[in-house]
Amino acid sequence: MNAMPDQDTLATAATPGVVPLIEARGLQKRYRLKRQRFFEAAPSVLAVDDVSFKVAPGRTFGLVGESGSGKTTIAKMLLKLEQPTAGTIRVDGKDIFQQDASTERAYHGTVQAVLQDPYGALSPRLKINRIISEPRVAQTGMSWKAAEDRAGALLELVGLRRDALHKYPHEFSGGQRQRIAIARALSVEPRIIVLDESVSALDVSVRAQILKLLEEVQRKLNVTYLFIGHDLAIVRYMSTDVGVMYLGQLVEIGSAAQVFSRALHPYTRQLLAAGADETPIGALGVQGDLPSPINLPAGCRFHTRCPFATEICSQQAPALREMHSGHFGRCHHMERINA
Amino acid sequence: MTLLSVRNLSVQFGPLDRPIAAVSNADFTVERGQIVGVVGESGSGKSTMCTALMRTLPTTARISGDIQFDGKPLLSLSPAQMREIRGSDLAMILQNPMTSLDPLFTIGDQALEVLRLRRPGVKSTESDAIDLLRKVRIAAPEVRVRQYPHQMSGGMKQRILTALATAANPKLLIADEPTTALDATVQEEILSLFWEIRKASNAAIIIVTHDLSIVHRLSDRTIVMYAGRIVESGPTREVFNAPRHPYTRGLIASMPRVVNGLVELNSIQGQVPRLDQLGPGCAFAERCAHATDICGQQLPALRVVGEHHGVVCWHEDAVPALPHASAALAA
Repeated sequence: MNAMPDQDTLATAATPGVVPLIEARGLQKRYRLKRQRFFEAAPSVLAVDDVSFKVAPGRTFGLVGESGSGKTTIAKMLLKLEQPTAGTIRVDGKDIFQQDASTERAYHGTVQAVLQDPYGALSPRLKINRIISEPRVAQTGMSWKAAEDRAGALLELVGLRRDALHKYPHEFSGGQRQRIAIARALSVEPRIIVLDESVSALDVSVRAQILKLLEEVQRKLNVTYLFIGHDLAIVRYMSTDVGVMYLGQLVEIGSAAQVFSRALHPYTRQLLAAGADETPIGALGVQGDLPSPINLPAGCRFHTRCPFATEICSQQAPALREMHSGHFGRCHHMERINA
Repeated sequence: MTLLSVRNLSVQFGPLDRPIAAVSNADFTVERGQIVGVVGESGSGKSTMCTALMRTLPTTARISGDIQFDGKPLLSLSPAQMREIRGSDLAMILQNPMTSLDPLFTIGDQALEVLRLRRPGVKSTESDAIDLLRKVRIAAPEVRVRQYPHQMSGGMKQRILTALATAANPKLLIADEPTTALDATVQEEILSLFWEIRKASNAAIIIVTHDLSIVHRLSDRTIVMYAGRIVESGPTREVFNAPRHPYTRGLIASMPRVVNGLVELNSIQGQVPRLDQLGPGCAFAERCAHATDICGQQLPALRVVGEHHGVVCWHEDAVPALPHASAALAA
């Protein structure tokens, strides 16, 4: 078991003195799989393990990592679509997994999501005004008439014309649908929006427009974003603070400037080098595939692909250590690597 | 030496009186051993153009123009002659590695089928299939050869598909969005695999993608498409450092890049026009900051702005230089 990082110094994404809006502590999610043989224990996948972070209001916390690293599972827990097997998330200081029915209902108005696929996210049978108004009506009991009056203003906020209200989703392009999904998320005046690969399916120029829109929304409404992505340049552009995930753990966490210009962890460095213009093609060599999350490597989970690995790495799991103020890494050799 | 020469290639769909021009008057050449990147957004015609080269477009497509590949006029070949070329001299890798392999056959079976077809009369054994996998650096190929596609990761499947496509040492490999579904580090492996294939067999590669940074790093030449037309083509370094078409410039500026320690990004206003609603002029005109009256009325002609660098724009001389165009994207 890893030593938990000192919770009070783990002030990531939280300016001192500011109460964090989101605080995850020792978050763990284990999925049980089907038993393979009758007399054996069922295998399980540790999708998220020992994840702690804080996000201050109005900030953007970026989560990066490869597929299967646990980013989306964290998002699902924040949205209360999954229960953690250990640890907890506090929003505004209150444990979100200890809510009564009415608090839970209100909570869903606090946290909204915009997901990757703008084609699957909007019901093809509903007109846009219905799509945008429904969450508001469900949340506040506002009349449909009043909610639909507001829908027009929301559409303008996301850069669409009011006449879109009476159209169906199929009449819009992918970028426009993503704008509609953003308007729907905003309809309940959430304080947190989970953006899980929200721009990944969009074309370059459309993606740039949506990123600009998200920035503008944050500036106007002071919402907090959990921004999940695999494109580092995009995450860097959007985030004030960044966590790097590898096989369910945060291997590095810090401000965007710290993580991107002084990466501590060898995995972060590898991610940064992959896709960078200066990296000659082939320079990274074969990394090998991601180890199976069912059979996690002993010791440091990254040691099977790490160019700096030594004996200790395969024996002992490193703890998250603070190297600079607010900048943590989970590696035995950070001093040597960054010397 | 020129391997592929495409002249005036057009692909149209839909009714004859209101055709939808997916590709219009494309002109380009590919030299032996050259890597050419084709960039453009969804609907720009890049995939259609490359599928036309393979002649695997649906029969409803109307193709015109001329494609000379290795001295053969591809558009006049019989289906049988085309089949000879396809998969041997001319190979293609598709975007989705998950669905391109048959789930009911082992990797070895599928590799042997390719080898049998490409080397008629030669008896291929499992060890040939293993060699093929080893070439694309699959770990433990002896085990993998007896496994099924669902037992492989996405990156592994893409490497296997690359192995199958290049089994016959094609002269031209067309890769349509080969890394789109893959993680960053896996993408890196596929790119270096392409690099090696070119080095080993002097194969030319056309890589179709919407990811500008891949094209920037991998290709010798870059072709930019917009609404079915090639709007700019030239040596990659020149196109990225000094784009001459306003669209190319806007596209490059839409990528986040670091300028003086800050990450910058600019977006192009408006959206891509529908192909059935194109006016007589330049398709980019209504989103273009430099557009004048003539742009909406008349198609610009190709202007040569450098060695092997052409741009289709009335006002290419008015397009300002990109600030810090060579700045790193992610570093």
